[in-house]
Amino acid sequence: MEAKQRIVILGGGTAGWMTAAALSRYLPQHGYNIQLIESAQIGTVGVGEATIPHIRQFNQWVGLDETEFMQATGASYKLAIRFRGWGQANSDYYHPFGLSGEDLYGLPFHQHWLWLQQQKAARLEDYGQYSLAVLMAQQGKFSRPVADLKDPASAFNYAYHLDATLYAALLRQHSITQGVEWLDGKVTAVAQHNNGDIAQLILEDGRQIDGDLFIDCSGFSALLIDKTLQTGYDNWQHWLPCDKALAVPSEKDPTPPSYTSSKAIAAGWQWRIPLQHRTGNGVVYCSSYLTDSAAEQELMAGLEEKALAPARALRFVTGRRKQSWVKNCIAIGLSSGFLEPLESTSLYLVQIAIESLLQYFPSNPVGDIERELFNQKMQLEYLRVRDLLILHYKLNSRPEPFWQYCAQMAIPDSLAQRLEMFKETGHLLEYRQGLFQPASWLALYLGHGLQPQQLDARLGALDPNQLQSWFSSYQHQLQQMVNAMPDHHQVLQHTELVGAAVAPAFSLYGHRG
Amino acid sequence: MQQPLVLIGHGLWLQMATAIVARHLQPFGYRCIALELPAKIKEPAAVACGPELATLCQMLGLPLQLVLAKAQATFSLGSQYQSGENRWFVPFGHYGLNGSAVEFEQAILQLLQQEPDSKAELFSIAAQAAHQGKFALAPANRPDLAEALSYGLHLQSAEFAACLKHFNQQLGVTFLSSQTVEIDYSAQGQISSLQLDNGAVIPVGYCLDCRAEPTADEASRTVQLFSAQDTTVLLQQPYSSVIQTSWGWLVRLPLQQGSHWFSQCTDPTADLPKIKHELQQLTGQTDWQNYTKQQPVECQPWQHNHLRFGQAAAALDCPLYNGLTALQYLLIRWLDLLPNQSSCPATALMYNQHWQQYQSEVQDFLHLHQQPLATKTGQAFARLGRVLSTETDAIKAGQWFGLMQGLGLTPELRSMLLAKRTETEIQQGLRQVQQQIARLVAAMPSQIDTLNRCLQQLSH
Repeated sequence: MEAKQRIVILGGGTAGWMTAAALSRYLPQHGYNIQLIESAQIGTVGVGEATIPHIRQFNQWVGLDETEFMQATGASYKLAIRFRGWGQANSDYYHPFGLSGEDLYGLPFHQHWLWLQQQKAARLEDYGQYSLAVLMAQQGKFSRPVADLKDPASAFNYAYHLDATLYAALLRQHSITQGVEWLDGKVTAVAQHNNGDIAQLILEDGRQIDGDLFIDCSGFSALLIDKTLQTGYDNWQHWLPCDKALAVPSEKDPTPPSYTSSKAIAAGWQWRIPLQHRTGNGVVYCSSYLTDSAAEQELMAGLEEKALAPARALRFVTGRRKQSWVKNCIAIGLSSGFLEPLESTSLYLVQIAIESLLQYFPSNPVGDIERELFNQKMQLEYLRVRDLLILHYKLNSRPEPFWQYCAQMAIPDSLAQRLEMFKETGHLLEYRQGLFQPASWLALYLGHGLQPQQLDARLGALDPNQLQSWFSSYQHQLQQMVNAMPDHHQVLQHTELVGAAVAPAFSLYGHRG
Repeated sequence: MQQPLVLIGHGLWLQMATAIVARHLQPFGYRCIALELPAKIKEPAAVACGPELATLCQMLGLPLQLVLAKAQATFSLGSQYQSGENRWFVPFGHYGLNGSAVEFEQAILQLLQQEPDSKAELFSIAAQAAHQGKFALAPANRPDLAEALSYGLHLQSAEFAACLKHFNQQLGVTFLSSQTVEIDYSAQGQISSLQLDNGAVIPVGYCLDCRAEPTADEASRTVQLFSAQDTTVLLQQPYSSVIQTSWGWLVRLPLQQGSHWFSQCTDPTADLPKIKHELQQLTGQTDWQNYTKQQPVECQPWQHNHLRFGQAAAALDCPLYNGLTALQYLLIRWLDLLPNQSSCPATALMYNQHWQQYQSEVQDFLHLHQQPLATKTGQAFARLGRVLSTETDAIKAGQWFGLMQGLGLTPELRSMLLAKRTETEIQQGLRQVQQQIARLVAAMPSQIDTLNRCLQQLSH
């Protein structure tokens, strides 16, 4: 009988327990032994309170019931991120989990909208007003999307605001039930084989934990992937210069919005994440332009509810490990890289890493092909997210020195080309692999007030009055649908109001996305 | 844009491009001019188009029945491959009946490891129908079957081109012809006008160049081999046949009245008499013609207002992949971005980068036919049994899977996403699908019946 493959997960934050839950869901106990080492002495960062819709698929994948999940993690529903003060000091726009409008005459909706704007159409609303997700978020409504593609209610999706510590605890309970062995201990040394593979973790109390495959979820300390295997790090701070954060919980909002708030400040931004039992708040800032005390003042002044604890500080270097999988060690979560939570992508990147690991799951010893495929996949995912984050900073006309630096900084070619294309023609070219499709890029371009120099050549042949009528009628239809929906805070109290669940779409934007 | 769109080229590629552009832009009042030039390379007598063609006909408003009648067309559910004693089917459609079924192909691979005599095509409705000579369009009440029954067409090139030309004329396209064309460039490198052999000058907004001839420094030499029409009628074969030879691959495309064989040899020093002898043995055909073709190797299709679509598509054109499919893709993606100005370098750059992706996916598919384990795709399949993600649908998922498993690539590792399923569970699940497929195929009409019904609908 073959020996069991021993998998050791180091770190018990959200990344560690998500990994444990997924691996124990799919790997049979007769062939695999999964251990998770967590130290009570080491706190977790608890990132990822705001999520994107893919988390629903993950939960379904590992077998978590939505109602149980909502109750256990104090979660609220999330339809969008609201950006205030980004681009210009008075800007206010939403990046929704949904599409705006519909294609008309074979042309994308936004081309018509931009054209009507050029024609100075009298009754043209803001771009977001043609998105069901935005209208719902603005008006505090919530309902689940439908799967019928003919129904406008298929063109949005939803995620959650959740308590990351409670989520980790729920996944822990789930994982242990599925056979994961939970060890409390602090790693003090790492033993390697002659070929460089990790052989054993030695704990403070002398225990020796042997393994065949090691998953590094040790957070910023990156104990295995970096401190042991010395994998380099790509520093992206010249593009994303914020390097510190402060986080503070405040009392709950009795009518929590169904969106995450992101408000630009003098040298960074402030978040607000409403949960059922409290509100998460924080600032992300650049320490070269804003002192810690000034940042804390900004944070406290921006709270809408009473603080429940002192602010907690965090320092980070934005970037990514050069390789996420080296030898027999796979970094998942903060040990593999850090991108600020501006687009709520932290748990998504954990999820994608876990899914890819299962898809490319190695034998013992690990083969080069699965390692290479995994690393390529993760690199692409990080780069796609990185570029959209940089765009938030680059496209601004704010007067503060920090924002001036961002407006003038050089950006990666991959982003520069995409941005130039939109400026030229107002068109976007979608990609299949990686997050953020045209709807997200558009939300940012238009939210930041970017106007293309030219539009599609076909628009000149259209009748603007006819088009305007269609726009008005469409918007009216969406508004009526929203009027009929229950309030978000009522839904949180009575989950039966939500309506029938449909299988989550693997898209930010719903079944039509 | 004030200046007209001018399409230049010849034959089927020019007519197809003109139809796509004119049909898309006619509602917006665009002026399209098609300039017919003499053909410099031989156009094959028949072409095989993939599932894009049916979608395109629908978009054009060109009835499928008309195409079937005019171009002597037959349906194609994929390709039947033969390599020595080994035979396998590569469908356009996906395996199983539910395209989003998780790890279905992985389950098939596991079954094949347990039962080496079993075949993946038992779980492909396209393959099962093809083997029984059956063909049906997915019925309106079973839209879920449309992907699994994705189909292309085999068509007579000249007749299809004539059909499209008639269509284009009805759309109001202006047709011109010339033995030569001189291109005039502006100081900024844009095409400003075209001069014809009669001295006429045509101003140009965009020039959509459908000519397949390469510029001299970007070409490789290939030898194309065409048979005369094989008179054997193969209406019981709704598929192409692909046979491995000592120099590459031989393809047979069945039409309503006979069929055509094609092959290609990329080694210009190859022993042609020997090749023709082998062809005669394989096909029974004695009349073989060969042409040496200068084939473009790579092309940045969008350069200023000159769109070298013909060259870009020709770089991929071979018996195993029809350049017409690539040409359609180039056109439709370009129309998606139709700019209002003749110079938009950033848009052109992004477009060309996207085209590189398409091109590399097709080339990867073609390389698999020669040395599967020399490609990343083949290596990933041989290790993990997975088809790598693609950025385009140049090659359908069913084609990647069908080809690689048919070539004998067997994964070393099993899917961990199925690790908790017992062999019995997996086998039972697969057998259920197999039975459902068998029932569906049993109720399908033959290709002959479907063809007859389509042609009768046209006559009514």
